[in-house]
Amino acid sequence: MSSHREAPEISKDPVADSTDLYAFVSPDHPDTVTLIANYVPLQTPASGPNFFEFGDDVLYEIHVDNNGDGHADVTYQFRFETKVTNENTFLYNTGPIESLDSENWNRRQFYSITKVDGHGNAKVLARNVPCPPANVGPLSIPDYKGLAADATFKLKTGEKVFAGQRAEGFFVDLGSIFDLGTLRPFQNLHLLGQKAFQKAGEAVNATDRTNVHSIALQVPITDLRGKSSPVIGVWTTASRRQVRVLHGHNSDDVYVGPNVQVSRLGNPLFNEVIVPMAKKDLWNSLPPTEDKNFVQFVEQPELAQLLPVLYPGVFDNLAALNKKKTARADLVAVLLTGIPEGLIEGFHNNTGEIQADMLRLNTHIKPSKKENPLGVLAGDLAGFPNGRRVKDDVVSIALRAVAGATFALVDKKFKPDDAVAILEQGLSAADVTSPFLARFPYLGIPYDGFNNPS
Amino acid sequence: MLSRRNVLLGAATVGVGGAVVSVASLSEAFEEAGAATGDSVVVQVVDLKSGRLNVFAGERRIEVHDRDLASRMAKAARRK
Repeated sequence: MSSHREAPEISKDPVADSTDLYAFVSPDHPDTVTLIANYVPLQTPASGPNFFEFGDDVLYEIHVDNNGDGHADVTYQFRFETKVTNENTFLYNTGPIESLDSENWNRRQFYSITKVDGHGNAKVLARNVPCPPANVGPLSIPDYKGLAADATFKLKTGEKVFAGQRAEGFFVDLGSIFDLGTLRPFQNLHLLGQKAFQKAGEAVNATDRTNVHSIALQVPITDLRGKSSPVIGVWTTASRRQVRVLHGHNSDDVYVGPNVQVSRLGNPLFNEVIVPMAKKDLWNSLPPTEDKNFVQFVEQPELAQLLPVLYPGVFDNLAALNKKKTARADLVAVLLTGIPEGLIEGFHNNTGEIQADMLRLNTHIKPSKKENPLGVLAGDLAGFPNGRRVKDDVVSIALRAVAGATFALVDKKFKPDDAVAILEQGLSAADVTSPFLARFPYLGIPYDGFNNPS
Repeated sequence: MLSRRNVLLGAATVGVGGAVVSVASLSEAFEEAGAATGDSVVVQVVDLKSGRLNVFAGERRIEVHDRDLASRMAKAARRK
Protein backbone atom coordinates (compact mmCIF):
# COMPACT_ATOMS: atom_id res chain seq x y z
CA MET A 1 0.00 0.00 0.00
CA SER A 2 1.06 3.61 0.11
CA SER A 3 2.60 3.21 3.52
CA HIS A 4 0.07 1.11 5.41
CA ARG A 5 1.85 -1.60 7.43
CA GLU A 6 4.89 -1.00 5.23
CA ALA A 7 7.57 -2.04 7.71
CA PRO A 8 7.72 -5.04 10.07
CA GLU A 9 7.73 -3.17 13.38
CA ILE A 10 5.24 -0.41 12.59
CA SER A 11 2.81 -2.98 11.18
CA LYS A 12 2.39 -4.11 14.80
CA ASP A 13 1.75 -0.56 16.03
CA PRO A 14 -1.18 0.74 13.94
CA VAL A 15 -1.90 3.76 16.14
CA ALA A 16 1.49 5.21 15.14
CA ASP A 17 1.48 3.88 11.56
CA SER A 18 1.38 6.67 8.97
CA THR A 19 -0.52 5.52 5.90
CA ASP A 20 -0.72 8.45 3.48
CA LEU A 21 0.48 12.01 3.23
CA TYR A 22 -1.01 14.68 1.00
CA ALA A 23 0.23 18.20 0.25
CA PHE A 24 -1.42 20.40 -2.35
CA VAL A 25 -2.39 23.98 -3.05
CA SER A 26 -6.02 24.06 -1.91
CA PRO A 27 -8.25 24.19 -5.01
CA ASP A 28 -10.95 26.24 -3.23
CA HIS A 29 -8.48 28.46 -1.33
CA PRO A 30 -5.42 28.75 -3.60
CA ASP A 31 -3.66 31.07 -1.16
CA THR A 32 -3.32 28.09 1.19
CA VAL A 33 -1.67 24.69 1.23
CA THR A 34 -3.53 21.67 2.58
CA LEU A 35 -1.50 19.08 4.46
CA ILE A 36 -3.10 15.77 5.43
CA ALA A 37 -1.35 12.97 7.34
CA ASN A 38 -3.31 9.75 7.77
CA TYR A 39 -2.73 7.21 10.52
CA VAL A 40 -4.32 4.01 11.91
CA PRO A 41 -4.76 1.95 8.72
CA LEU A 42 -7.43 -0.42 7.49
CA GLN A 43 -10.14 0.33 10.03
CA THR A 44 -13.15 -1.93 9.80
CA PRO A 45 -16.15 0.37 10.33
CA ALA A 46 -18.01 -2.16 12.51
CA SER A 47 -15.44 -2.15 15.29
CA GLY A 48 -17.36 -1.63 18.51
CA PRO A 49 -17.34 -1.48 21.37
CA ASN A 50 -13.86 0.05 21.22
CA PHE A 51 -13.69 2.13 18.09
CA PHE A 52 -10.45 3.35 16.49
CA GLU A 53 -8.77 6.49 17.80
CA PHE A 54 -5.45 8.36 17.91
CA GLY A 55 -2.82 7.33 20.45
CA ASP A 56 -2.57 9.46 23.58
CA ASP A 57 1.01 8.19 23.89
CA VAL A 58 2.05 9.15 20.34
CA LEU A 59 3.49 12.46 19.15
CA TYR A 60 2.21 13.11 15.63
CA GLU A 61 4.06 15.68 13.53
CA ILE A 62 3.85 17.25 10.07
CA HIS A 63 7.14 18.82 9.00
CA VAL A 64 7.89 21.35 6.28
CA ASP A 65 11.34 22.15 4.92
CA ASN A 66 11.41 25.40 2.94
CA ASN A 67 15.11 25.88 2.25
CA GLY A 68 16.09 22.49 0.84
CA ASP A 69 18.36 21.32 3.65
CA GLY A 70 16.13 18.38 4.63
CA HIS A 71 15.54 19.83 8.10
CA ALA A 72 12.15 21.08 9.24
CA ASP A 73 11.64 24.84 9.21
CA VAL A 74 8.02 24.53 10.31
CA THR A 75 6.60 21.63 12.32
CA TYR A 76 3.07 21.14 13.53
CA GLN A 77 2.81 18.79 16.51
CA PHE A 78 -0.39 17.06 17.56
CA ARG A 79 -0.87 15.48 20.99
CA PHE A 80 -4.10 13.69 21.90
CA GLU A 81 -5.91 13.08 25.16
CA THR A 82 -8.80 10.70 25.70
CA LYS A 83 -11.51 11.47 28.25
CA VAL A 84 -14.06 8.98 29.54
CA THR A 85 -17.14 10.60 30.99
CA ASN A 86 -19.02 7.57 32.32
CA GLU A 87 -16.96 4.85 33.96
CA ASN A 88 -20.00 2.68 34.64
CA THR A 89 -20.77 1.60 31.10
CA PHE A 90 -19.00 -0.57 28.53
CA LEU A 91 -20.52 1.50 25.73
CA TYR A 92 -18.87 4.10 23.47
CA ASN A 93 -22.17 5.98 23.47
CA THR A 94 -25.32 5.53 25.52
CA GLY A 95 -27.64 7.36 23.11
CA PRO A 96 -27.49 9.44 19.94
CA ILE A 97 -24.49 11.75 19.59
CA GLU A 98 -25.88 14.96 18.15
CA SER A 99 -23.20 17.40 19.22
CA LEU A 100 -19.52 17.39 20.12
CA ASP A 101 -20.41 17.86 23.80
CA SER A 102 -23.18 15.25 23.86
CA GLU A 103 -23.64 13.62 27.27
CA ASN A 104 -24.37 10.37 25.44
CA TRP A 105 -20.83 10.21 24.08
CA ASN A 106 -18.68 8.42 26.56
CA ARG A 107 -15.19 8.33 25.08
CA ARG A 108 -13.96 11.54 23.51
CA GLN A 109 -10.58 12.70 22.21
CA PHE A 110 -9.12 16.19 22.36
CA TYR A 111 -5.84 17.47 20.99
CA SER A 112 -3.36 20.27 21.21
CA ILE A 113 -1.50 21.81 18.28
CA THR A 114 1.99 23.19 18.71
CA LYS A 115 3.94 24.99 16.01
CA VAL A 116 7.72 24.66 16.16
CA ASP A 117 10.09 26.77 14.06
CA GLY A 118 13.44 25.74 12.60
CA HIS A 119 15.23 26.85 15.76
CA GLY A 120 13.10 24.68 18.03
CA ASN A 121 10.96 27.52 19.35
CA ALA A 122 7.54 26.11 20.16
CA LYS A 123 4.22 27.91 20.39
CA VAL A 124 0.98 26.21 21.41
CA LEU A 125 -1.66 27.25 18.88
CA ALA A 126 -4.64 25.51 20.47
CA ARG A 127 -5.53 23.18 23.32
CA ASN A 128 -8.48 20.88 24.02
CA VAL A 129 -9.63 20.84 20.40
CA PRO A 130 -12.33 18.15 20.06
CA CYS A 131 -12.18 15.30 17.54
CA PRO A 132 -15.42 14.02 16.03
CA PRO A 133 -16.54 10.55 17.10
CA ALA A 134 -15.95 7.38 15.12
CA ASN A 135 -18.82 6.77 12.73
CA VAL A 136 -20.70 4.17 14.76
CA GLY A 137 -23.95 4.06 12.76
CA PRO A 138 -26.99 6.17 11.83
CA LEU A 139 -28.85 5.62 15.10
CA SER A 140 -25.84 6.64 17.17
CA ILE A 141 -24.85 9.53 14.94
CA PRO A 142 -27.78 10.74 12.83
CA ASP A 143 -25.84 13.62 11.23
CA TYR A 144 -22.21 12.60 10.93
CA LYS A 145 -21.52 15.15 8.20
CA GLY A 146 -22.70 18.01 10.41
CA LEU A 147 -20.85 16.73 13.44
CA ALA A 148 -17.60 16.42 11.50
CA ALA A 149 -18.09 19.92 10.12
CA ASP A 150 -18.43 21.16 13.70
CA ALA A 151 -15.04 19.55 14.40
CA THR A 152 -13.32 21.69 11.75
CA PHE A 153 -11.78 24.77 13.33
CA LYS A 154 -10.12 27.94 12.15
CA LEU A 155 -7.33 28.99 14.50
CA LYS A 156 -6.60 32.58 15.41
CA THR A 157 -3.23 32.15 13.72
CA GLY A 158 -4.91 31.46 10.36
CA GLU A 159 -4.72 27.68 10.07
CA LYS A 160 -7.78 25.51 9.52
CA VAL A 161 -7.58 22.16 11.34
CA PHE A 162 -9.37 18.83 11.58
CA ALA A 163 -8.34 15.61 13.32
CA GLY A 164 -10.52 12.55 13.26
CA GLN A 165 -11.87 9.60 11.33
CA ARG A 166 -12.22 9.80 7.53
CA ALA A 167 -12.93 7.41 4.68
CA GLU A 168 -9.78 5.84 3.25
CA GLY A 169 -9.03 7.69 0.01
CA PHE A 170 -6.09 5.64 -1.18
CA PHE A 171 -7.05 3.05 -3.76
CA VAL A 172 -4.99 -0.05 -4.53
CA ASP A 173 -5.51 -3.65 -5.60
CA LEU A 174 -3.57 -5.01 -2.68
CA GLY A 175 -4.56 -8.66 -2.99
CA SER A 176 -3.39 -8.73 -6.57
CA ILE A 177 -0.18 -6.68 -6.36
CA PHE A 178 1.32 -8.66 -3.52
CA ASP A 179 0.45 -11.96 -5.18
CA LEU A 180 3.74 -11.99 -7.08
CA GLY A 181 3.20 -8.59 -8.66
CA THR A 182 -0.02 -9.41 -10.49
CA LEU A 183 -1.87 -6.49 -12.05
CA ARG A 184 -5.33 -7.81 -12.84
CA PRO A 185 -5.69 -5.76 -16.07
CA PHE A 186 -2.52 -7.51 -17.32
CA GLN A 187 -2.82 -10.81 -15.42
CA ASN A 188 -2.86 -12.91 -18.60
CA LEU A 189 0.57 -11.49 -19.52
CA HIS A 190 2.09 -12.36 -16.13
CA LEU A 191 4.83 -14.99 -16.04
CA LEU A 192 2.69 -17.39 -14.00
CA GLY A 193 -0.65 -15.78 -14.82
CA GLN A 194 -0.33 -16.79 -18.49
CA LYS A 195 -1.26 -20.32 -17.41
CA ALA A 196 -3.87 -19.29 -14.85
CA PHE A 197 -5.81 -16.59 -16.72
CA GLN A 198 -7.31 -16.63 -20.19
CA LYS A 199 -7.97 -12.89 -20.28
CA ALA A 200 -7.41 -9.61 -18.49
CA GLY A 201 -9.19 -9.08 -15.18
CA GLU A 202 -10.73 -6.12 -13.39
CA ALA A 203 -8.92 -4.51 -10.48
CA VAL A 204 -10.46 -4.49 -7.00
CA ASN A 205 -9.98 -1.64 -4.54
CA ALA A 206 -8.86 -3.53 -1.44
CA THR A 207 -9.02 -0.47 0.81
CA ASP A 208 -12.56 0.54 -0.13
CA ARG A 209 -15.01 0.79 2.80
CA THR A 210 -12.23 1.11 5.35
CA ASN A 211 -11.46 4.17 7.45
CA VAL A 212 -8.34 5.98 8.62
CA HIS A 213 -7.63 8.76 11.10
CA SER A 214 -6.64 12.03 9.45
CA ILE A 215 -4.74 15.02 10.75
CA ALA A 216 -5.55 17.82 8.31
CA LEU A 217 -4.26 21.36 8.21
CA GLN A 218 -4.89 24.19 5.80
CA VAL A 219 -2.16 26.78 6.13
CA PRO A 220 -1.61 30.12 4.38
CA ILE A 221 1.13 29.53 1.80
CA THR A 222 3.07 32.48 3.15
CA ASP A 223 3.39 30.69 6.53
CA LEU A 224 5.16 27.75 4.91
CA ARG A 225 7.13 29.09 1.96
CA GLY A 226 10.78 30.06 2.30
CA LYS A 227 12.40 33.28 1.14
CA SER A 228 14.25 31.95 -1.90
CA SER A 229 12.06 29.22 -3.38
CA PRO A 230 8.36 28.42 -3.84
CA VAL A 231 9.08 24.72 -3.22
CA ILE A 232 8.34 23.13 0.14
CA GLY A 233 9.25 19.59 1.24
CA VAL A 234 6.75 17.82 3.49
CA TRP A 235 6.91 14.69 5.62
CA THR A 236 5.12 13.29 8.64
CA THR A 237 6.43 11.37 11.63
CA ALA A 238 5.05 9.59 14.67
CA SER A 239 7.12 9.18 17.80
CA ARG A 240 6.82 7.41 21.12
CA ARG A 241 8.49 8.08 24.45
CA GLN A 242 11.69 6.09 24.84
CA VAL A 243 10.67 4.39 28.09
CA ARG A 244 7.34 2.90 29.07
CA VAL A 245 6.87 1.12 32.40
CA LEU A 246 3.68 -0.90 32.65
CA HIS A 247 1.98 -1.51 35.97
CA GLY A 248 -1.09 -3.41 34.86
CA HIS A 249 -3.36 -0.40 35.27
CA ASN A 250 -2.75 2.30 32.74
CA SER A 251 -3.29 5.18 35.15
CA ASP A 252 -0.07 4.06 36.90
CA ASP A 253 1.94 3.51 33.71
CA VAL A 254 5.03 5.65 33.22
CA TYR A 255 6.01 7.29 29.93
CA VAL A 256 9.33 9.09 30.11
CA GLY A 257 12.38 10.09 28.10
CA PRO A 258 12.78 11.68 24.67
CA ASN A 259 10.38 11.01 21.81
CA VAL A 260 11.75 8.33 19.50
CA GLN A 261 10.57 8.30 15.90
CA VAL A 262 8.83 5.06 14.92
CA SER A 263 7.10 6.06 11.67
CA ARG A 264 7.92 8.36 8.75
CA LEU A 265 6.29 9.14 5.43
CA GLY A 266 7.14 11.51 2.60
CA ASN A 267 6.58 10.21 -0.91
CA PRO A 268 4.03 7.41 -1.12
CA LEU A 269 5.55 3.95 -1.58
CA PHE A 270 9.14 5.02 -0.75
CA ASN A 271 9.58 2.82 2.31
CA GLU A 272 7.05 0.30 1.00
CA VAL A 273 8.54 -0.42 -2.40
CA ILE A 274 12.03 1.11 -2.56
CA VAL A 275 13.57 0.21 0.80
CA PRO A 276 14.44 -3.48 1.39
CA MET A 277 12.55 -5.18 4.22
CA ALA A 278 15.65 -5.54 6.39
CA LYS A 279 16.10 -1.75 6.43
CA LYS A 280 12.49 -0.56 6.62
CA ASP A 281 12.36 -0.24 10.42
CA LEU A 282 15.64 1.67 10.37
CA TRP A 283 14.35 4.00 7.65
CA ASN A 284 11.26 4.76 9.74
CA SER A 285 13.49 5.89 12.62
CA LEU A 286 15.66 8.28 10.59
CA PRO A 287 15.26 11.89 9.47
CA PRO A 288 15.10 12.67 5.72
CA THR A 289 18.66 13.99 5.85
CA GLU A 290 19.86 10.37 6.17
CA ASP A 291 18.24 9.30 2.90
CA LYS A 292 21.52 9.60 0.99
CA ASN A 293 22.23 6.21 2.60
CA PHE A 294 19.31 4.71 0.67
CA VAL A 295 20.08 6.24 -2.72
CA GLN A 296 21.32 2.93 -4.16
CA PHE A 297 17.83 1.48 -3.76
CA VAL A 298 16.41 4.41 -5.71
CA GLU A 299 19.07 4.22 -8.41
CA GLN A 300 18.57 0.46 -8.86
CA PRO A 301 15.01 -0.22 -7.69
CA GLU A 302 14.08 -3.84 -7.19
CA LEU A 303 10.70 -3.28 -8.86
CA ALA A 304 12.43 -2.24 -12.12
CA GLN A 305 14.26 -5.56 -12.10
CA LEU A 306 11.06 -7.49 -11.43
CA LEU A 307 8.80 -6.00 -14.11
CA PRO A 308 10.61 -7.55 -17.15
CA VAL A 309 10.78 -10.89 -15.36
CA LEU A 310 7.14 -10.93 -14.26
CA TYR A 311 5.87 -9.72 -17.64
CA PRO A 312 8.14 -11.43 -20.19
CA GLY A 313 8.51 -9.64 -23.51
CA VAL A 314 6.59 -6.57 -22.30
CA PHE A 315 9.41 -4.50 -20.81
CA ASP A 316 12.39 -5.24 -23.08
CA ASN A 317 13.68 -1.65 -23.14
CA LEU A 318 13.54 -1.53 -19.35
CA ALA A 319 15.36 -4.87 -19.21
CA ALA A 320 18.13 -3.44 -21.39
CA LEU A 321 18.39 -0.41 -19.12
CA ASN A 322 18.60 -2.68 -16.10
CA LYS A 323 21.28 -4.79 -17.75
CA LYS A 324 23.49 -1.74 -18.20
CA LYS A 325 23.04 -1.01 -14.48
CA THR A 326 22.16 2.54 -15.37
CA ALA A 327 21.59 4.64 -12.25
CA ARG A 328 18.01 5.90 -12.33
CA ALA A 329 18.69 9.64 -12.11
CA ASP A 330 15.02 10.22 -12.91
CA LEU A 331 13.81 8.45 -9.77
CA VAL A 332 16.48 10.16 -7.66
CA ALA A 333 15.10 13.48 -8.90
CA VAL A 334 11.45 12.55 -8.36
CA LEU A 335 11.94 11.11 -4.89
CA LEU A 336 15.06 12.63 -3.35
CA THR A 337 15.88 16.05 -4.82
CA GLY A 338 12.87 17.19 -6.80
CA ILE A 339 12.66 17.62 -10.56
CA PRO A 340 15.06 20.32 -11.79
CA GLU A 341 14.20 23.05 -14.27
CA GLY A 342 14.56 22.19 -17.94
CA LEU A 343 13.17 18.65 -17.91
CA ILE A 344 9.46 19.53 -17.96
CA GLU A 345 8.38 22.79 -19.55
CA GLY A 346 7.14 25.31 -17.01
CA PHE A 347 7.82 23.12 -14.03
CA HIS A 348 10.34 22.29 -11.35
CA ASN A 349 10.17 21.25 -7.72
CA ASN A 350 13.86 20.83 -7.10
CA THR A 351 15.19 21.72 -3.67
CA GLY A 352 18.92 21.40 -4.32
CA GLU A 353 21.59 18.80 -3.76
CA ILE A 354 20.44 17.33 -0.43
CA GLN A 355 18.92 13.90 -1.02
CA ALA A 356 15.88 13.59 1.21
CA ASP A 357 12.56 11.81 0.76
CA MET A 358 10.04 14.61 1.03
CA LEU A 359 6.79 15.30 -0.77
CA ARG A 360 7.90 18.36 -2.75
CA LEU A 361 5.31 20.93 -3.68
CA ASN A 362 5.95 23.92 -5.92
CA THR A 363 3.45 26.34 -4.43
CA HIS A 364 3.62 28.61 -7.48
CA ILE A 365 1.76 26.00 -9.55
CA LYS A 366 -1.95 26.82 -9.45
CA PRO A 367 -4.54 24.09 -8.79
CA SER A 368 -5.83 22.43 -11.97
CA LYS A 369 -9.35 23.16 -13.09
CA LYS A 370 -9.60 19.59 -14.35
CA GLU A 371 -7.40 17.19 -12.41
CA ASN A 372 -5.67 14.31 -14.18
CA PRO A 373 -5.06 11.42 -11.76
CA LEU A 374 -1.72 10.71 -13.44
CA GLY A 375 -0.48 14.16 -12.39
CA VAL A 376 2.75 15.49 -13.87
CA LEU A 377 3.13 12.37 -16.06
CA ALA A 378 -0.03 13.45 -17.89
CA GLY A 379 0.87 17.13 -18.02
CA ASP A 380 -1.15 18.10 -14.95
CA LEU A 381 1.57 19.98 -13.07
CA ALA A 382 -0.52 20.40 -9.92
CA GLY A 383 -0.52 16.66 -9.23
CA PHE A 384 1.91 14.06 -7.91
CA PRO A 385 4.90 14.20 -7.77
CA ASN A 386 4.29 17.92 -7.39
CA GLY A 387 2.93 17.35 -3.92
CA ARG A 388 0.05 14.91 -3.85
CA ARG A 389 -3.71 15.40 -4.14
CA VAL A 390 -6.28 13.06 -2.65
CA LYS A 391 -7.41 11.64 -6.00
CA ASP A 392 -3.97 11.16 -7.58
CA ASP A 393 -3.37 7.57 -8.73
CA VAL A 394 0.06 7.28 -7.14
CA VAL A 395 0.28 3.53 -7.70
CA SER A 396 -0.07 3.85 -11.47
CA ILE A 397 2.25 6.88 -11.54
CA ALA A 398 4.89 4.96 -9.58
CA LEU A 399 4.50 1.91 -11.82
CA ARG A 400 4.97 3.97 -14.98
CA ALA A 401 7.89 5.93 -13.53
CA VAL A 402 9.75 2.82 -12.38
CA ALA A 403 8.98 1.14 -15.72
CA GLY A 404 10.88 3.94 -17.48
CA ALA A 405 8.41 6.73 -18.26
CA THR A 406 10.46 9.32 -16.38
CA PHE A 407 13.86 8.02 -17.49
CA ALA A 408 13.11 9.41 -20.92
CA LEU A 409 13.19 12.87 -19.31
CA VAL A 410 16.85 12.52 -18.38
CA ASP A 411 17.97 10.44 -21.38
CA LYS A 412 16.34 11.53 -24.63
CA LYS A 413 17.72 8.45 -26.40
CA PHE A 414 15.78 6.10 -24.14
CA LYS A 415 12.46 4.90 -25.49
CA PRO A 416 10.07 3.57 -22.89
CA ASP A 417 8.39 0.28 -23.75
CA ASP A 418 5.02 0.69 -25.49
CA ALA A 419 3.32 -0.91 -22.48
CA VAL A 420 4.41 1.94 -20.21
CA ALA A 421 1.87 4.31 -21.75
CA ILE A 422 -0.99 1.98 -20.79
CA LEU A 423 0.48 0.57 -17.58
CA GLU A 424 -1.94 1.13 -14.70
CA GLN A 425 -3.40 -0.60 -11.70
CA GLY A 426 -6.92 -0.32 -13.13
CA LEU A 427 -8.43 1.78 -10.35
CA SER A 428 -9.38 5.41 -9.87
CA ALA A 429 -10.93 7.72 -7.29
CA ALA A 430 -14.31 6.49 -8.58
CA ASP A 431 -13.52 3.16 -6.90
CA VAL A 432 -13.66 4.86 -3.50
CA THR A 433 -17.27 4.47 -2.33
CA SER A 434 -17.43 7.48 -0.01
CA PRO A 435 -17.15 10.53 -2.27
CA PHE A 436 -14.22 12.89 -1.85
CA LEU A 437 -15.19 16.38 -0.68
CA ALA A 438 -14.67 19.54 -2.70
CA ARG A 439 -13.51 21.34 0.42
CA PHE A 440 -11.42 20.81 3.53
CA PRO A 441 -10.68 18.14 4.73
CA TYR A 442 -11.32 16.72 1.23
CA LEU A 443 -11.39 13.04 2.31
CA GLY A 444 -14.87 11.53 2.43
CA ILE A 445 -17.18 10.89 5.37
CA PRO A 446 -16.04 7.73 7.17
CA TYR A 447 -17.98 4.53 6.59
CA ASP A 448 -20.35 3.73 9.44
CA GLY A 449 -20.48 0.37 11.17
CA PHE A 450 -24.18 -0.33 10.64
CA ASN A 451 -24.16 0.04 6.86
CA ASN A 452 -20.71 -1.53 6.42
CA PRO A 453 -21.07 -4.53 8.70
CA SER A 454 -18.35 -6.76 7.21
CA MET B 1 20.12 8.14 50.00
CA LEU B 2 18.00 6.90 47.10
CA SER B 3 16.18 3.65 47.73
CA ARG B 4 16.02 1.01 45.02
CA ARG B 5 12.42 1.85 44.32
CA ASN B 6 12.83 5.56 43.90
CA VAL B 7 15.98 5.15 41.83
CA LEU B 8 14.34 2.73 39.43
CA LEU B 9 11.12 4.70 39.38
CA GLY B 10 11.93 7.81 41.33
CA ALA B 11 10.16 11.10 41.80
CA ALA B 12 11.15 14.24 39.97
CA THR B 13 9.65 16.94 37.82
CA VAL B 14 11.56 17.98 34.75
CA GLY B 15 11.86 20.61 32.07
CA VAL B 16 11.06 19.88 28.45
CA GLY B 17 13.25 18.45 25.73
CA GLY B 18 16.78 18.94 24.47
CA ALA B 19 19.83 17.00 23.40
CA VAL B 20 21.27 14.15 25.42
CA VAL B 21 23.74 15.44 27.99
CA SER B 22 26.40 13.63 29.94
CA VAL B 23 26.95 14.24 33.66
CA ALA B 24 29.11 12.64 36.34
CA SER B 25 26.56 11.68 38.96
CA LEU B 26 22.89 10.96 39.45
CA SER B 27 22.43 14.10 41.55
CA GLU B 28 23.83 16.16 38.70
CA ALA B 29 21.44 14.36 36.36
CA PHE B 30 18.48 15.39 38.50
CA GLU B 31 19.84 18.92 38.56
CA GLU B 32 20.29 18.87 34.77
CA ALA B 33 16.70 17.70 34.34
CA GLY B 34 15.40 20.35 36.74
CA ALA B 35 14.26 17.53 39.00
CA ALA B 36 12.03 17.98 42.00
CA THR B 37 9.34 15.84 43.55
CA GLY B 38 6.56 14.93 41.14
CA ASP B 39 7.02 12.97 37.93
CA SER B 40 8.90 9.73 37.37
CA VAL B 41 12.56 9.10 36.69
CA VAL B 42 13.73 5.81 35.18
CA VAL B 43 17.37 4.72 35.32
CA GLN B 44 18.97 2.13 33.05
CA VAL B 45 22.36 0.58 33.80
CA VAL B 46 23.90 0.45 30.33
CA ASP B 47 27.35 -0.82 31.28
CA LEU B 48 28.00 -2.05 34.79
CA LYS B 49 31.79 -2.15 34.37
CA SER B 50 32.19 1.47 33.31
CA GLY B 51 29.28 2.70 35.43
CA ARG B 52 27.40 4.13 32.47
CA LEU B 53 23.76 4.87 33.24
CA ASN B 54 20.89 6.40 31.30
CA VAL B 55 18.59 8.60 33.31
CA PHE B 56 15.20 9.19 31.70
CA ALA B 57 13.37 12.19 33.11
CA GLY B 58 10.58 14.14 31.45
CA GLU B 59 11.47 14.32 27.76
CA ARG B 60 15.18 13.95 28.39
CA ARG B 61 17.80 11.21 28.50
CA ILE B 62 20.85 12.07 30.55
CA GLU B 63 23.97 9.95 30.48
CA VAL B 64 25.53 9.46 33.91
CA HIS B 65 28.89 7.88 34.77
CA ASP B 66 28.81 6.52 38.33
CA ARG B 67 30.44 3.10 38.90
CA ASP B 68 29.46 2.96 42.54
CA LEU B 69 25.79 3.61 41.84
CA ALA B 70 25.77 1.17 38.93
CA SER B 71 27.26 -1.46 41.18
CA ARG B 72 24.73 -0.81 43.96
CA MET B 73 21.86 -0.99 41.48
CA ALA B 74 23.12 -4.28 40.11
CA LYS B 75 23.37 -5.57 43.66
CA ALA B 76 19.80 -4.43 44.35
CA ALA B 77 18.61 -6.13 41.19
CA ARG B 78 20.04 -9.44 42.41
CA ARG B 79 18.25 -9.16 45.75
CA LYS B 80 15.48 -11.70 46.25
